[in-house]
Amino acid sequence: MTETVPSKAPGGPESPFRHELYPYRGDAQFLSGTLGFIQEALEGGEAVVVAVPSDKTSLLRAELSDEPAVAFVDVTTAGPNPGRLVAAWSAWMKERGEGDRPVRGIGETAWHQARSAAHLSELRYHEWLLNRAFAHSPTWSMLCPYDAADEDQDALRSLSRCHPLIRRDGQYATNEEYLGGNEYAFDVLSAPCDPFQELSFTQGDLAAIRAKVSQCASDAGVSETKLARLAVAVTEIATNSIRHAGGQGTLRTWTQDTTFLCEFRDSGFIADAMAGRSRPDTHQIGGRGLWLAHQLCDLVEIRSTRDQGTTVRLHMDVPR
Amino acid sequence: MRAARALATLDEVELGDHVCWRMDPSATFFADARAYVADGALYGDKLVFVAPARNASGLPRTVPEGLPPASVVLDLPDSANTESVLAAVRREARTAARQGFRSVRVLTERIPATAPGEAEELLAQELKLDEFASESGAIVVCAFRPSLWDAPTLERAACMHPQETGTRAPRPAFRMFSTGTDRWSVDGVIDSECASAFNAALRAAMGHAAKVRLRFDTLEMIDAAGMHALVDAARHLPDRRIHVEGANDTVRLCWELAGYANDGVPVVMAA
Repeated sequence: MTETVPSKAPGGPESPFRHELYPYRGDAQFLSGTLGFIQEALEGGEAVVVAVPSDKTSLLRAELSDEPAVAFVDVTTAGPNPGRLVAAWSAWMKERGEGDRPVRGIGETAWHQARSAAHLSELRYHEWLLNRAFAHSPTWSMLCPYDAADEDQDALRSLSRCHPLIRRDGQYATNEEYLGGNEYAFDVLSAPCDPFQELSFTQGDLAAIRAKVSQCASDAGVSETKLARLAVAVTEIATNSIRHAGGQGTLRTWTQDTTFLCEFRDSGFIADAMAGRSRPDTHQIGGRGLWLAHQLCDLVEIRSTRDQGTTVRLHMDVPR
Repeated sequence: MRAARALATLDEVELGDHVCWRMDPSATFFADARAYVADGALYGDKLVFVAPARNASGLPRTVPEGLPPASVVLDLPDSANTESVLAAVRREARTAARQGFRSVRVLTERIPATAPGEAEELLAQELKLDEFASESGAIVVCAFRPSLWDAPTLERAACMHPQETGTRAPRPAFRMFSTGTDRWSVDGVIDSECASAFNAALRAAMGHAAKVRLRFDTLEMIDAAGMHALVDAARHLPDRRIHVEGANDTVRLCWELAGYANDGVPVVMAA
């Protein structure tokens, strides 16, 4: 059950950021919903950033000709990890905002191209995090078209929980399925595949961690370029365990299908859900470790609670 | 081009080497260095022994017996003073060249600092000695008794020697050594465990130079703590700049990702 809200209402009960899910079926509905959203923006003097799959880009370009207020971006340039998308959207919208100019985003994820269940789960979490990332951005709003043609109600419901607003028939309304609050209902991490390698580590073990990961990743077929990047990422995550989680942790590595994984467990707690999602400022002293891990790895999963500590999984895709 | 390497024994020293010698706990300093001294005579090198301010037991310094006739003992009033030590060894190197020696072999035993600021002065002196070895082709051997040193201080000092030898001498995580005036090569890995040592080395190198050039050709990796150490060292004193060259793709990518690739940072990271 939804209710219509005023056109300038905030995206969520407390947030000025409008984040709308738009389930559609077929190209005609896609165009009507997105063009209506764009038309609202143009009438209000707002800029629009569009990041949708290439076939949808073609549809919109054909309708909009060369409308200067609308910019198309290629979401694949942000890389394979959904953990990079908040920063990518921030950059795109800041670039188009030109100061205080309001900006709208249209972002459709190619859900059917998700590489794994973990990737799918992190894509959904990214959608939920957008509400936090832009919670204090009154000039930004985002429409997330979702191709509901496959009638997968479970998938739609999962995604619906990440959007405070839902758009239907040209109107947006409060989405009562939205999971507000501070806790996200994460999917449970799958168990490590056998055989896995395990190493307990503490201060002074960073070189041993890198050696272990390098050997296992190399055996799994991770490329030289990715080995070098993984070395930095594991150093950062292990350093966090040593510095902020009682000085020790446990590393596990294994290969699952075409992915090499490194899992770090420690007793620490990451209170900030946005940690590692925003590009660091030149002058900030710390806070770059998770950011680098997100930027250097193909996928990063983080689960952290006060009771159970923190688990960070770094994924590197292996060529088939 | 100088290169970092580990030596099995002091017999393997070459011209331009600057060696961190971690002595065996039971070693007698001069007895264990006898072969090094004797090789100097064999190759036509003049021995320059820099006497420590005090010996390892804290007793007044003593001059070793059995030095070759042409040896020089630098019994300086303040062997912790970098300028006076460097001036003395450079003077001896010039004299040795005039006397027809191939080069000089500098030998010194390092004694842990006790006065405030001596630890930093030690790093500065090691860098200057390294520059001296690089420029003159002299061989410099610095002996350390690990039992006398706290591990972090010894690690910092070791990082400023491109060569190491001795009992259970681990390869330092990184090494920073001279490749010319105010030019330094950095090899190995710089992570959170050695970032403070890297910072200290850079600060020492930048103490008297407005612009320092670093070669990262043989640096495998640098993490966020290491990058911060680099930027912090450049910002430590006003109007200082560090120009990094030869960094690999991953290092340059991390530098950009970390937000340091902009004009407001006094460090330039180039390929």
